[in-house]
Amino acid sequence: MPQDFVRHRSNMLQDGPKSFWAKIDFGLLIPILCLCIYGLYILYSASGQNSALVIKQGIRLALGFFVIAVVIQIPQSLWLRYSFIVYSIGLLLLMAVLLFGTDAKGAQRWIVIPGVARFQPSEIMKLAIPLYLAATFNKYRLPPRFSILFFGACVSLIPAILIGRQPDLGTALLIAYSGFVTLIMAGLPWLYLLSLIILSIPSAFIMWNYFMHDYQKTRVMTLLDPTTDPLGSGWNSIQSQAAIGSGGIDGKGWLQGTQSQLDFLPESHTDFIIAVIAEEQGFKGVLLLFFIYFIICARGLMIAWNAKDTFGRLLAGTLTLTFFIYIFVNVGMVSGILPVVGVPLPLVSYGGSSVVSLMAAFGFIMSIHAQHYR
Amino acid sequence: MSQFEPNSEAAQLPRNRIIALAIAATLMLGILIWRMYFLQVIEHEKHLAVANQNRIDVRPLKPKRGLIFDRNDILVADNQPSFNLNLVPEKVESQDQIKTLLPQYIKLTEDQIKIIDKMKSIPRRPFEPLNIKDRLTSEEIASIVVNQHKLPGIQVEAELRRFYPYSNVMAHILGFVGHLTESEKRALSSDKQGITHVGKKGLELSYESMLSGKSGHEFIETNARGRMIRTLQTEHATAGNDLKLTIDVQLQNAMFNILSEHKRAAAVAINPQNGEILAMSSVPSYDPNSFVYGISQKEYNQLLHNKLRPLFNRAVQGQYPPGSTIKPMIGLAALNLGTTTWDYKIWDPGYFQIENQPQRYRDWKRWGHGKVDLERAIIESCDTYFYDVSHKTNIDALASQMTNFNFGHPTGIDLNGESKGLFPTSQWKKARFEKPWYPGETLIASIGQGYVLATPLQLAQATAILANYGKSTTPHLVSQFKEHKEGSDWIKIEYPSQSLFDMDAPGVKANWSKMINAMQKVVTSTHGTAKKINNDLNYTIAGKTGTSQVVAIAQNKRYDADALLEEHRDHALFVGFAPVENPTIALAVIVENGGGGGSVAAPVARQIFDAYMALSIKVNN
Repeated sequence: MPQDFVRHRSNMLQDGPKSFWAKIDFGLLIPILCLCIYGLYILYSASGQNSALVIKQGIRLALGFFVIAVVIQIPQSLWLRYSFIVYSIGLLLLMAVLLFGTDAKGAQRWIVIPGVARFQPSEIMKLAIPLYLAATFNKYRLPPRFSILFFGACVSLIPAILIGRQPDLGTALLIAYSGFVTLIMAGLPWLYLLSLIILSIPSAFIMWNYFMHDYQKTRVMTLLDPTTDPLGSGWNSIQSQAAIGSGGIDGKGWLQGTQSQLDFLPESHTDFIIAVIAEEQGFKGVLLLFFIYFIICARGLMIAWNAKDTFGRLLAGTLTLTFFIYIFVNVGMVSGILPVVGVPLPLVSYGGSSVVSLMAAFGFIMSIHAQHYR
Repeated sequence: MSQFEPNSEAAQLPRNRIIALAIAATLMLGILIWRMYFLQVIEHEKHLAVANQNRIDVRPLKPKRGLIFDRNDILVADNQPSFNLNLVPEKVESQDQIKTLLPQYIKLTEDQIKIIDKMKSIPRRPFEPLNIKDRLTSEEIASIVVNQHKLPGIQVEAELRRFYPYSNVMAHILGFVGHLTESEKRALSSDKQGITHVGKKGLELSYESMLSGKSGHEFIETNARGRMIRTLQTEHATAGNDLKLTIDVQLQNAMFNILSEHKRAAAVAINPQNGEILAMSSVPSYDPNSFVYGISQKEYNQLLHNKLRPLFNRAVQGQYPPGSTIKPMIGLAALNLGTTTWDYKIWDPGYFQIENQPQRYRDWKRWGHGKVDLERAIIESCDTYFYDVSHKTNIDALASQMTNFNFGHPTGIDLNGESKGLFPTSQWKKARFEKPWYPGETLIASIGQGYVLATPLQLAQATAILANYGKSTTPHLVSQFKEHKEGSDWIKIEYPSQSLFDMDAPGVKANWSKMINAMQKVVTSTHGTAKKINNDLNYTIAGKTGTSQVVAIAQNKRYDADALLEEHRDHALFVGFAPVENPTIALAVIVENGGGGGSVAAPVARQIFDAYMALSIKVNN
């Protein structure tokens, strides 16, 4: 098309890096900003009006925006070239965490660099797998041969198994999921997908009998009937559903949730924060949250659709859908349709480890967007 | 540039997939919206009722801790009611008011006042009371009750608390329970909810899972302020199991009193036939009851930093050079290995010298014992004889024989933190010091000095194995348990016995009889090192004394107790069993830095044996 051609030419003629602001996609940035503000507002109530905690989270989110700014500065060609190295480092750190990781509640997830930082290598993997897979498939004509698909499956399963051994089954499944989303977008035949789903039934049986820890089994059992273990893991389910349901359409009002404010709700400011939104802001508040999430995901998929190459399409698509699945799993577990696994509500739950990787993901999506118009 | 154009066919595939996945995601979002709609709109009334008007609360019902009895059914760990001061933060109206008023009505320590300050940050279940003070006096209860209206959130509750009637006598065996720490509380499994105390030491710790029982729970309706309206459903708690000990508390009491005449001492008495520990004491001791009610930091520090180490269970944790007490076992080992016979005699000039080496390995008797065979070497505890024999014996072969007597590895007693002692091997030395084994070290090891270490429990166990002709049973403190219910029966815990020695080999049994005979002469012979305890003995004792050096004495110096620091003086030891014909008690005694085994430890052992005999005569009548 001639117009396109003209714009293309004019960009070529500019002959220099685009300005910083031109790289930022406001269609994505503004809903993210809204989400963060809404999240902090809820967090103040959920934390029992602990302003120090809200400020701490605010600083983390601000740092997150800085991460976006850094990521979009890095040329895409660099990511393409070094994705394997990023993936390998992530894999090595996962092995290191199994050997030297610090214990937290019976699971080894953290690597501590004394005096500097501590972080979960699984967070790196959340980015590294889509990055490396997208870069790999970028080299081939789609749909790829079976051997390449198989290679892709291995790339996502190996880290998932390592994370599963920490043990952190929830994250392991989500990591494996993100790899398979890439495979599906790259053209995994539907027949394979169907047979995978059928195969997953016996493998779930094997997992249950040989790999799952007792506490994980109890969580699944309490999903079926929360009253079987009312003092243990059933407590969370009973209380969170009471909190959500009692909120009604309009909610009890900010700081007015009896379940959340009287400490009936466990983990109210971390994994279970959606119950506080539901109780205090009602169904309307939940819909508002879902609307913001919907805008973010829709924008992410649009960018994926418009991306100029396979790398961009696969990466933006996978990162967006991974973001979505976190929302789905978190809300599903709090509302009692999924077992309780420790997955935070993205950008709303209190906690720092996921903010960086989520914001970096948005940085990637924006930089793919910027490429499209270069 | 990618090799494919944006609108090419290759771009179409991922785009189609994006559409498909977007549809799937939208459907999933639909599920979430439907679920929230279902809970918040359709089921709203139901959940509102639960959350707002009649909040249903689950409260744990804590189980009763199992009781502990001695072998004659005397209660040694009891649960007694105690009136406790508790705080329910949800009901508190003003934290400051409680902080200023409460200390006016009742005496509180700084730690206890701190609980009021920290009440919001202590992890617990909603409406779960925080314990501030235990064992209120009736005056204290009265002054709280009278002023109750000024102290919303404060309540006096009667709860069961552990009580140890034998206090310090049983402290090192039973240990104690104490308040849960925050991390222990977080780690509680769901069937232990509501438990406030757990075993921290001793049997209370090692049998925690048996004693603690299973929590029950009740669903109760509460109003918005958390006040109970009625109980909906109750599942009762299951009390923990009762335990029956092998300990005879009367013998234990006697042993403790006898040992208490010394500053630091320990003794263990085992029935060699079945591994039952009849009594076990470590002196000094402490009052375990003070831990139950929350010991103050100051009191705890005093116990912890006390030079005499009252919290240390010398009987199972203390490792001492066993000295000459291991000579009977060394003698049997050497007989088994063929490096000596009962007829082999040496000339003892008071020292032993390895050929071409200047160092003299000295006997405790400066001028020597003269002509000595194995029997005399045991009776008079001749060091030179054992130097001579062990010089011909390989250290590793010797160690493997001694392992059968339970040296160098834990006995497996049902207490945590047992020390394992040490009987050195050349391999051990290589790993530990990266040096080869020197022949002289075998000589030192053969008289229970040098690297050799043993706990009093190990010495008693070795003696029991010897008394029982090589048969050994894991020593234990708990023999039976039963459910805490009317009419339930005691269930025996099985401890199989095993023999690690080949008693059927020619001559072995005769060797053991001769060794036991020699040990009896340690007491009865006029030259015996324990002849002092033979007076008016109306039953038979076989034994062996030991005096073990704590510090090395230089080649040209002599041991002089008065010139040495108290903690550098010799340990006095005695091992023995009785009656010789059919042993039912094997005993090991150590008096730390007490002096000579024959002069100090043997009389202590005699008193314990006497107490045992007197008690068993009483039982038989």
